[in-house]
Amino acid sequence: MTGTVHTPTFTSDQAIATKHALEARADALEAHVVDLPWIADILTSDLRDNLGAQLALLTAMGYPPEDHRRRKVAARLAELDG
Amino acid sequence: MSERTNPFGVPAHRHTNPDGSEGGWVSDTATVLARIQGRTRPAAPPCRRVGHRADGGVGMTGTVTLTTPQACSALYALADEERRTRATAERYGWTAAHHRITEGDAAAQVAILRQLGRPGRQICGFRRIQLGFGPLTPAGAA
Repeated sequence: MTGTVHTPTFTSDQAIATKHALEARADALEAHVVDLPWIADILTSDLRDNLGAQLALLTAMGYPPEDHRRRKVAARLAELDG
Repeated sequence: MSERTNPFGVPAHRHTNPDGSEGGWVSDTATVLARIQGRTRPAAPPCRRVGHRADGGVGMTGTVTLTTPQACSALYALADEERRTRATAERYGWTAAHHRITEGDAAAQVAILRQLGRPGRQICGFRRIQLGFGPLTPAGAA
């Protein structure tokens, strides 16, 4: 499945729930990348998607670019892409 | 001050919100790290998720655009979060916060599935599987 998903019906509550869930899973993925190096590629790809979704949510939720959460996610994403 | 009659079965106390009102449960070993727009978020699980769905976002600007892989990642994360919250609630007793979180996670999953173009029946099937029920069988099937 490819393409872009537009989610205009995402309410603020849903965005908050999703952001929290993504944060928790990102922490777990970061730990798994260290623990399970033989599938690090798959986990890193998942982590990249996770952080991308987090960044999109943070932006839509009104976090400014200088916000430390947004900067942290963007920095980690750049690190993975680099 | 510790109160042993908390829903988690671990030494914990009620957090005091900045306005002086009673907040959520915080384990005694946790410290409140972040203060976001006048609201606080404790640092350690399991209290982090319960009763603290407040966030520092200043309001949605209207839309969120995710790529399909990002949406799938969000779906997986929400399902995982819902499962964990449900397991905690079933172990220690359901609270209003647990209901709110599981419902919020489920609603967000359904919103994403709809945006992915999944029909209602498929969404129901997906939810059934997540909750540990078998897939839907067509009416009249053996």
